[in-house]
Amino acid sequence: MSFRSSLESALRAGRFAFGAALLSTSAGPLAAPATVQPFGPQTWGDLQRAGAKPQVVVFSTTDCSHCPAVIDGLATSLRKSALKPRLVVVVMDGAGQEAELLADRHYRQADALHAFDGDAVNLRYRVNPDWRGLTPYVVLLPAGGGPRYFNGAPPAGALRALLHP
Amino acid sequence: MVGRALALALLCCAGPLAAQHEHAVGAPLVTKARDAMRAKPALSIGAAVSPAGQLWIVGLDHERRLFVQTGGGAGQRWSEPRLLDIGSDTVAADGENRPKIAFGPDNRAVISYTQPLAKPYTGEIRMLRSEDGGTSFSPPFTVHRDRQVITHRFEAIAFDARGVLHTVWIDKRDQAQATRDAGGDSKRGGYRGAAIYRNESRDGGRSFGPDLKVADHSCECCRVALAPTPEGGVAAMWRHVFAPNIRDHAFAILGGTVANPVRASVDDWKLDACPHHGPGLAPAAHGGYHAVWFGERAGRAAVRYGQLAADGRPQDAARELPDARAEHADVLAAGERVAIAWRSFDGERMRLRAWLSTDGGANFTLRELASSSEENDHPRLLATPAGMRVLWRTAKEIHVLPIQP
Repeated sequence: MSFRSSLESALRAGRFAFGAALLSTSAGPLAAPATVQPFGPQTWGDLQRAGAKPQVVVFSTTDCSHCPAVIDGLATSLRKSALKPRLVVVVMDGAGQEAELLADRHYRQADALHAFDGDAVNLRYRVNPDWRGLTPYVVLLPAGGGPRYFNGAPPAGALRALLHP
Repeated sequence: MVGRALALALLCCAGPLAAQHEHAVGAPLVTKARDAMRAKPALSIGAAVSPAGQLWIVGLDHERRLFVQTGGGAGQRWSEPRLLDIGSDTVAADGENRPKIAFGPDNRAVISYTQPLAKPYTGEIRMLRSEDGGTSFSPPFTVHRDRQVITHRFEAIAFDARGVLHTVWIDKRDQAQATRDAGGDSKRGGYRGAAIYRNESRDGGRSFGPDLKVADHSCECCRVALAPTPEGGVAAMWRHVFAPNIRDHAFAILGGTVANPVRASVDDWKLDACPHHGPGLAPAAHGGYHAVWFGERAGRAAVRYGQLAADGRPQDAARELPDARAEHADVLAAGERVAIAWRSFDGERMRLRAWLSTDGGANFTLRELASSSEENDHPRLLATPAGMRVLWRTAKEIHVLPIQP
């Protein structure tokens, strides 16, 4: 099954009861995510094109013990920035757990919260062929610039470069 | 024959004294976890060869029900899947989590799995026991004595040559205690990673000895590899967290009077993240072990192959597999023949590949085995009476591929 058809079939099956209509990720920042949005084949491209302000994308899993601290640290740093960058969290194994994700205090710090339900290997390749499945996997998306990828928390210098271009 | 079958069970799967443990966690937690997992694919299978030489697999069907199936060898059809009654249990069967099956002496067989609980990162190790060679299985029971709602996950099981069943798992009781001692602050608690625990059963899973710590500071999210020792025992290899944050591998012989893990890989991979990528281990013909693992060395991520001494220390310079995108490799040896199998995604298809040696791992030949555009499981290597086999489950079928180094 292709990446796209995986998503389409998931949507047909009604798996994304929370925020299924909110496919676009280019909406403005949210105080806290009100919905869990599906992360489909087009979402990564949408994120990369939403270049009005910098974004930090965290790919997480529910069994990743390092992810909460990384999300906390990034959320704290981003809140202090005058650029108001968006924090986007993608929970790779989050489909079917939308209510739990929304109740999680770490995920609630995200401006946009996504659940992925499809072929994770394919998604990893689309995001970055060098991503070997580690989580958290953090992508810094500067406004109008190319992405930078990190296993775990990005170093302070990389975050500074994003927040103070 | 039994000894050989025991070794086979060890190769494909990754303690006695107290009464069998029954499930102690309330149904609501389990139901919640089951609902949470329903949407995800569950292709991960375990496999073993019975003392009679028959290939068995255990996995989840499309409705996430636990089943066993036999056959699948050359010219053989798979039997109809036989569903096992696990009550309200949920089974983790994706990625590095998989149900497992192992055969022991006297018609004993066990199936194990991790049951995720509703609280993140938590689980317990569950087991079904058979005393008639797998014709029937007991209801599931919990293997470990510790019943905190914490991590008890990524179990591995094996019968040793004496028929003792070894269960090894990743356990966070020490991390939880350190956090409690620090007033609930895990950072201040300062416990690196999780721990490796184990127990033994001398009666095929009827009763278990105490939970025994093998090592502090294991990785939290990677499978544990088991292999038979020349003395008839069981060796374990796992991803460790060496101070301060180096996620290399450790090795220990289980059941010795002193558990003394040694460092088995020296990539010096400093990482505060979850690799979700455990090692593979197989005994070498002339002592020591063949090992495969994923890691990053000097910024270069790769699956590497190395030979370990009998005590687990690296014997030679590790070699990268000839595939920059190799992942989730397994290793198997029979005399001088060594097979390493892995999967590798090229952007369109997942390729199943193998590296084969006829001289004890000195030289290897690369071989393409199969490819698929379907979602798929990690490959597993098995020694069967007919020779080495690679098992690979894709969304539509379970492949059993012969390989002859």
